Amino acid sequence: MTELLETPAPGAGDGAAVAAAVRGAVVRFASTTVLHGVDLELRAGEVHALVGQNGAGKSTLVKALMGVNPLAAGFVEVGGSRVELSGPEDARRLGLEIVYQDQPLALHLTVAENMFLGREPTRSGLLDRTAMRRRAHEVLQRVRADCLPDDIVGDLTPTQRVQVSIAAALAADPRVLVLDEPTAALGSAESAPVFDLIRAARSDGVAVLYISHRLHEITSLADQVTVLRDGRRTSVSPAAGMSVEDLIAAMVGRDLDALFPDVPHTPGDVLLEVDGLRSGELVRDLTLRLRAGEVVGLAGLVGSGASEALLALFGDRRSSGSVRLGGRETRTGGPRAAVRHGVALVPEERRTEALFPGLAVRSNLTASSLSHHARGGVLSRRRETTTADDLVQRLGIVPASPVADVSTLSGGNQQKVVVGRWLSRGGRLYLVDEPTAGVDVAAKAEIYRHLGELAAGGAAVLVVSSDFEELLGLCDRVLVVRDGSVTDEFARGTIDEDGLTARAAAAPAGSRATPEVPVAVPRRRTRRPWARQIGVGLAMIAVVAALVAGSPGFLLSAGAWDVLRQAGTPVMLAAALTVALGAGAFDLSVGAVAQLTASVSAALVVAGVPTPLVVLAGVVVGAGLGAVNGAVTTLLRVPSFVATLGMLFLLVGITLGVNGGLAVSVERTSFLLLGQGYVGPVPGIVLTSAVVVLAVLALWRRTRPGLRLRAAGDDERTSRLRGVRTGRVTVTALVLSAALSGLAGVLLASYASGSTARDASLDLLVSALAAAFLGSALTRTFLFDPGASAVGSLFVTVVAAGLIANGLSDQWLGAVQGVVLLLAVLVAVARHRNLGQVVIF
Amino acid sequence: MSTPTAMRTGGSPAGTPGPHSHRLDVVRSYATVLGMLVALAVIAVARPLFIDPRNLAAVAVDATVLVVLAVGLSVLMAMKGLDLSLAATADLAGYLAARALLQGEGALTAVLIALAVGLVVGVVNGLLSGYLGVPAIVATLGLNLVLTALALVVSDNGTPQQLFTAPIDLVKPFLVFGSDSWGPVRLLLLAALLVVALAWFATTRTTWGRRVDLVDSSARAARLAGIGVRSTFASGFVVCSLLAAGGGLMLTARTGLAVPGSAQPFLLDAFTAVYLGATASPRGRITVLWTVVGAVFVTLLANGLVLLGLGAPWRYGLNGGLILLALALGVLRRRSSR
Repeated sequence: MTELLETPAPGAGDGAAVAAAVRGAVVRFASTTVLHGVDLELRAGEVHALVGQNGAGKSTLVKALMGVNPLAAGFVEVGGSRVELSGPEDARRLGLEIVYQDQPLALHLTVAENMFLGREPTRSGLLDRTAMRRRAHEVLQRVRADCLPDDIVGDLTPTQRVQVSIAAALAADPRVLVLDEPTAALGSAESAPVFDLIRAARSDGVAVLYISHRLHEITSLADQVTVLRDGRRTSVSPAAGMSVEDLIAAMVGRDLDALFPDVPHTPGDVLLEVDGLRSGELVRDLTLRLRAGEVVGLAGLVGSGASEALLALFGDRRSSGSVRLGGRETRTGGPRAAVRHGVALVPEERRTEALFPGLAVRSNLTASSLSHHARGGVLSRRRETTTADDLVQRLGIVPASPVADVSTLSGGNQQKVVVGRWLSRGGRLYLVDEPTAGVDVAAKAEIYRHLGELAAGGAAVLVVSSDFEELLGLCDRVLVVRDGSVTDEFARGTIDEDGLTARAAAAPAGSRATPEVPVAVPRRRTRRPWARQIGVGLAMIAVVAALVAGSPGFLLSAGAWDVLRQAGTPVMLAAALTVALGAGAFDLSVGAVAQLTASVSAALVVAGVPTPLVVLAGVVVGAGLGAVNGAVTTLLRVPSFVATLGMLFLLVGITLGVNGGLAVSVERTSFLLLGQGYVGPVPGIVLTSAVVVLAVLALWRRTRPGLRLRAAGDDERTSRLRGVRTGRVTVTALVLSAALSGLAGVLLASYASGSTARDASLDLLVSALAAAFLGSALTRTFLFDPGASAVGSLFVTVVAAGLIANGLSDQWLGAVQGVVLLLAVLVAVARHRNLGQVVIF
Repeated sequence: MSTPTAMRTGGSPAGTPGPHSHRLDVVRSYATVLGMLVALAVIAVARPLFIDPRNLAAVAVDATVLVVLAVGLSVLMAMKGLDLSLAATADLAGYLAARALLQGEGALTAVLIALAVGLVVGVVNGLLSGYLGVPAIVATLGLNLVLTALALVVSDNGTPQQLFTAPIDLVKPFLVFGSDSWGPVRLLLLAALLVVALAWFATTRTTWGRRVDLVDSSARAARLAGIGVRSTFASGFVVCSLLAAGGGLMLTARTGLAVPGSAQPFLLDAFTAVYLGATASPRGRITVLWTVVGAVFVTLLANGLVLLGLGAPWRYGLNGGLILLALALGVLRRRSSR
């Protein structure tokens, strides 16, 4: 039974304390109101479910509770008193914990590190790793998760990751636990442990807010249910006695027939034949047939492989299996070939995958059919305008101006532009992913009509949607996709939304496939990195061996100390750069900073400043420059590489100003001892740089700032959600990196008995970059690590010295570093092969 | 037919940030142009010689090399590419062309050698960055070192190739190109204008130029729209390197001398020109014509600094500072349009 808003909230008198509440929440984005005064009360020891369709405002409400979305009106109450939340950190401090839908975890950190990120226990300045491990172990046992605190999160199965996310939230002993579709990516067998966990939390007195699309879960799990529709609360009532039908009625509440205009179309011959399509880990053995003039839906939950199958059919993902379009094999060749064959894709993520923001509606409409609008490679503005005017009118795009910037249009109109792009080209097969996500109701109906018209025109339309009601209203047939293959097929009118949901979420009939996954995945992930790590390591050893064979003297006997001496400053610079890179900031100015402090310290020594002060000056100058880098990067939100590139150029000028374009030579013994002295048989500079690298390493791996630097570099969004101030982290990284570079510069001046006139900023930078990337290729997951970089730097130095010893002219040294850099980076990027674009503004 | 009305009300509020950010764009654009003019006016007041027509004519010829290099860079940067090896490419191309000329290979061969250098460098950069996925900044930084070393080696540690001391019949075409005029207009200036006109046409009127715009706006969307994203991105490196080689030829012809390293200052100048041009442009975009404005300003500023008696450190410092300033203004725009 649904209770109406006017009646008082049930359970108000039963004594359970209100742990947190949202009262009269109004949220606006730009000038669109998304929440119209919603109330929500969460009580201790109760599971409160929040349901509603896509776009009903569930996530917005949760983010308002967590202080992420600012409230235009209304307020948040915690423990009975009104609070002002300025961000997720505030909410966490008050005992509000959230586990997001996509479970943000830093993939390269351990389970324990992830669990305590943002509130790490420390003891005498260092991370208290024993305490972390012990507490993690306790919580993991409490939630009965089958993983260890030291496991790397990237190796875990999806279920384990959900468990870790929830365990991380529970480790904080929260007052309120918000779970935003935690089971979205899991099958029902995999979800069972998660439900146990939620029940356990409830009996501990936690107030749980549970969001899910799976209505069955809610009726069996929740105590209270709040239903949202179009940004308003339509009902709040006890879950007991509520049926799935009641929930759907409260969620939908409108006439479905009006939404799905009837466009008559008749299926013709089979157009698309897919047999045994496999792609990645999600699409496994997918088979389907699609007729011309037919609209077919693929119903699958997140992770079912339905979206991925569309991308594979379009050639955007590598795949195997047979795909025949109109009888011809078309699997290979990528999106370009697919478009040539008459395949069109309306991708899931409109903003990032379909639109060209900043460009006119007209350019967006003709993007896939440029050659139809040009002669001999020269665009015809007239033809473009004709096409655009025609489409704007046909699709009813508002504003009706083909020159408007497409990013100023509303979601529905943007989606019409994306559909229009393919109409201007004309296709046989339309692959449509989430056609109406973030689209208002009126535009939805129009988009459905256009899809129907495409089929009426003889094209085949394949639709993927997480909104099953949409699939049922729109499609002639609906295919259920589970675990990467089609498991059921339903003709129009033979199944309802609930049945479809049950089918999509069901455990596979064989029940064998699912348990195999968790075992198979980590094994495959761990084997290959070892091969690569060993390969790179062996290659490095082979190169050194070849060089030693050519000229044994340079590395054997006394030569070794010489090479180590040469490596002193490069190793420090590599460690400096790694701190920045590992924290997700690109510091191009390390070489220039070292070059400057070398000149400055030489000049200071000549001016008679005592040696300790000279060293201090180098570090301080470096730190100051790093602070400028950090300020420019975070305050102006400039990409760090651009800010530091500007700094690089600026410093080259300042260095010239300091040394006047002349070499400065230094003779004071106390200063020269820094870089040229010996402690026993060991050169002092080797000791100094070893100590510095070890200190950096300890900071990096064993301290709270170090963990936060690594986390921010690994996954900035996750870190921010965990309350790590990522701006501060970036500044810290750039200051550290520049301060270390400054120290390296001082040592460089001492080692070389002064500063050179030639500007070596770029050479120093490239050698550090090469070392850092080589080092990352030596780690299991391509992490930047100061220790690995030091090894990489040693290698670069040994190769340079070895080549010289083998008779190479030192003119080539720079080239060798350049080539080593390129090879190291190639190893690191070879898997992804993204476009090498860089953010310029 | 009530549905379109409902959408219209939904659509118009989203459109309101447009004019607002546009107004800020205009302010930023005017402020930048005004700032440039004020800087030039200050120099002109301090050193009236600065605006002497003969000085300005000399500056115009001076600017040609930078204009060609910066225009090439702007085409690449218009799709978020970057080339740190362009000065080294110009150096090597100019040097090898001069050497070929002095060895009596003829002017045509010399030009072809230079362009071949540009083509090879562009293709390598394009392959690395467009097809293999090395970030443009790392790929071209690596190649910059390789090319610098190569220039040192082929020049036997920087021995210059002197055109003006060579027999005139060997080097005549180059020296004519570098110092003669067609009517009142220097040939170098004509060449630069030709490059600018071609680049402007290619970027604004052709399908290739449109593909560049699409890749800039969203490489992912361009790929899913069936655009050859990798080839388009790689072609930007080829264009940039070819123009860099052309710039190297012009530099050699103008000075009658080829020394490795002589084009290095142009790297920073070209970046400053592109950034300043984008900041000054009405829509805050990187375009060919506004890059020319930036390049001319950078050349004028350098000339003014010399007249004021301020040396190389000032030039570097000012350029670095100007890039940061342009960034700050560019960010201002991005923030306001958010």
